[in-house]
Amino acid sequence: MTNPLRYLDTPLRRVNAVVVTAALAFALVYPFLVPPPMIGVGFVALLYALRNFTWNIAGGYVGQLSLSHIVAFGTGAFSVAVLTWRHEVNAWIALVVGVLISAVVGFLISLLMSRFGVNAFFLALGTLALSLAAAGVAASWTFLGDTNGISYSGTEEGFAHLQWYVDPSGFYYTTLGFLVVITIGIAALMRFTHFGRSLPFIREDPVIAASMGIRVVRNQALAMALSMGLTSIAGTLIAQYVQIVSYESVLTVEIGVAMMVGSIIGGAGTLAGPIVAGIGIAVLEEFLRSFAVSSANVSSYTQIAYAVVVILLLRFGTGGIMPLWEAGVRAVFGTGRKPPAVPEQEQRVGELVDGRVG
Amino acid sequence: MSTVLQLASTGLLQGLLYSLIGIGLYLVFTVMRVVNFAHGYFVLIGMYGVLSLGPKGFLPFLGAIVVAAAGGALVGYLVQRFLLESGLAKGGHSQLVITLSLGIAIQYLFQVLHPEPFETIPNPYPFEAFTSSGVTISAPRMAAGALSLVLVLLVSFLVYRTRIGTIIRGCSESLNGAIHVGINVRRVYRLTFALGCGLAAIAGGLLLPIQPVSPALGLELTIKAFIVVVIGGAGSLWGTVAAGVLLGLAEALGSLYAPGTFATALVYGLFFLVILVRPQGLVVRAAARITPRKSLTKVGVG
Amino acid sequence: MLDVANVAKSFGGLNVLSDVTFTAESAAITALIGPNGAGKSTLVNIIGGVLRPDGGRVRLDGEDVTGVPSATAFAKGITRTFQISGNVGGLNVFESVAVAAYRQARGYRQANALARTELERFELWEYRDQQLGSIPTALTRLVDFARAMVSRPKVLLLDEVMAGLTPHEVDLVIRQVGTCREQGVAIVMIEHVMQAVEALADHVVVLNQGQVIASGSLGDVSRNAEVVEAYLGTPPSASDDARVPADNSAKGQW
Repeated sequence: MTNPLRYLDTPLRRVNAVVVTAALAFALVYPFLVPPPMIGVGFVALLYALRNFTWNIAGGYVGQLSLSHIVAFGTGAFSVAVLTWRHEVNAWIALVVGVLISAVVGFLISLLMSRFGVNAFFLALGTLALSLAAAGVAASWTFLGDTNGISYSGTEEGFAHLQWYVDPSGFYYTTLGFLVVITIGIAALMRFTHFGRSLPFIREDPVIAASMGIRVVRNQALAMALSMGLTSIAGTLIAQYVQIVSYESVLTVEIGVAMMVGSIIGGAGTLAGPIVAGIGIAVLEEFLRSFAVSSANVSSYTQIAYAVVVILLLRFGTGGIMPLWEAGVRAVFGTGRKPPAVPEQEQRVGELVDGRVG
Repeated sequence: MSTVLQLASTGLLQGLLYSLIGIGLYLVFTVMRVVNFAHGYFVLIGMYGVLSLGPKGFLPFLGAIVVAAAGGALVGYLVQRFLLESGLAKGGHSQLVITLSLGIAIQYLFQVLHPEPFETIPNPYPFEAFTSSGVTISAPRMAAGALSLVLVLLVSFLVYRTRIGTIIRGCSESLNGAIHVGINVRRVYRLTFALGCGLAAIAGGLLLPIQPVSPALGLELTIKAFIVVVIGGAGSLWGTVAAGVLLGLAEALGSLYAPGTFATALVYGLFFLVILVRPQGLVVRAAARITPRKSLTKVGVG
Repeated sequence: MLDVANVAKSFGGLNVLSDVTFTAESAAITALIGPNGAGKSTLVNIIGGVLRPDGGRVRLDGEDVTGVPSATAFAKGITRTFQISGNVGGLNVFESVAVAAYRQARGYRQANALARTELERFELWEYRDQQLGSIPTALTRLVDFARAMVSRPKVLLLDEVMAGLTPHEVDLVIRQVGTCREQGVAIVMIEHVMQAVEALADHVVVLNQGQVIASGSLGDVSRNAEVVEAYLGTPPSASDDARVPADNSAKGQW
């Protein structure tokens, strides 16, 4: 493999590399710098980041604005609740089961939507209806705890059991590990594989993508499967941490929308955007709590803040935190590449037929 | 048997209210192609609006509804003018996320302002429940159904038999044609959106004495509005009415067989299937029905 | 070699194409000309798999490819150019070419290498980091062309690639199209710019109102009365460049 340092040929990439390294270093030592409750906050922040990121795989990269990822989140949570808490199956196995079920569901949903030629609006509406149906089923099915949910039972502890009772550091580092591995994996996928590189084309113009030999329906379904499968992991982690799972806690539309909105605010289609936005909202929540705002109102205020921010972002077309960051860095440091010479405007021949050009 | 009759009557009347809620969404969708995910939350504005005004008596109640409707219409106008308009020109899916987020913001705003769930007001009408052949209908429900029907008729009259209605329909058919004839399309869009939201708020006011309000109701009503529009939208305005009544009946009679949350889950699941099968039907056929068959200067019969 | 036989297409009762038959030989350029609305784009969409014909057959080197989806058509060697519209403006130039290179490439490194070669050939290498929407419109055409060429197609469908280009750019593209022909590609070229048609076309097919009204060399078809009438019937602004020279022999082109 060629020298990776050659990749750092623009100021933006160099700045980003520095920031990422610093952030990673900070994340690694963070639990040693703060009291245990704050480690829990850190865990939640990383969890928000993780589920925003996994949503973004289908939502931002492929442009499938799905409100069904909450079903994946819920599947991960219920999987560990049913398999591990009730039947003492190892939590990691439950995690994998959750991932597999969610991936299959995601694959099928995307296939169905493609087969029936569903456009973006109906995709959002349909996935919303589906997730509400799932919540309703969970609320009325004793297998899934109906309205009361399923409570934790178990005694094991440690990484092999994905559970820590007193010190949240275990959860924190596990989530950090997932986040780092998944981010690197997806980045590599997007850069090095035909599948990953085809996704922006599918997003922008599926017809052109198909004419470039991209198998649009298949890739969309695979992306959705990957996206929902990975989202399930976040559900499993939060279930182990909170130790109770019910339709009201893991199958709500609010969480489903938060994943979407978080990615958009951070910058849909970027790597870091969803992560930054996820951590940001956790910080905001903690900030509000520190002002002795009641916990019910904290979640209300953050929801309102989220909504207002994304509305303003979309209204003024600024594209999110990461695009703003990139524009800012470029403004301060320059682009680092010689701007290409624009060819002189010679006399043009030929008809601009139907005004289609440009 | 009387249970069935009772449920059917209740369902029918509730369905008329759903039709009213759906009509507003239908107008916005067919005229402007805007997907208003916040529509059910405007119903909520109506409900909380009337609740806050705390009317005592029938006329104050009507007055409160008018005020709440005006408020809802005003908010709708502002939303269209300042949030949605620029995005519509650009295309893309911003209106989807904007209206969805708007709904959530409204929900949590009411969550903060009215932390107590399930508030309602007592019967504001000057008559009590109506009983006949084993069927009892409460006054608010009777009135809501009747008033919804009246309002739907009024809207139908407005859209199909007035000059304003022709203008609105003209915008839905051909944007270029409308501009060409000198119609201020932006103003029409703003008014249509305001009208849709205002109708939703009125429905909310009518709904309040029947169903206790809580912020989460917004989402449920939004979905129901979409169900009504997607299923009924293939016909004219009246298709929406039929779909609303159908929804009300299905909901009421369905409660006989499947309890609470599972029944709702079934409804959503069925809705998902409908979406798969019908998405083309909504835009294509609805546009065909709402358009005038004669020229823009003549008022045609729909 | 591309064989189009009796292709027909209607949209909601409107006959857009009727009984269209022609052959595009390998290592040759077949120009598809005709007034606006003649159905040329529809025909190219059918060959490329974006639309399915209501009748007729399309054969590539003897293999029936009628109605195959466009991704399959691409895999079999049918490539086309596109007008680059607003949506795809955010995409990266290099990626646009590299993704298409996977038809010929085994993996990431080779695809990137092929893309680089193609971009350099079109003098586009310095724009590799740019977005399609930020480079001059004429250059987006060259990128589109590079993207088509990098897949080493058997059939290349060019949809008005010359429109809006400067003479220098037209010459550059003409040269590249010629090179393609030498590599054995069957090229079908929808074109209004007569400079290019004159310079490149080995065979000309004239389409009017969905039907082939003439085919042969440029000289032959330009003497065809029906062809002349079809063009003179269009409004002056559209036909200025589409007008076929009445007498070719005097120009000594051939």
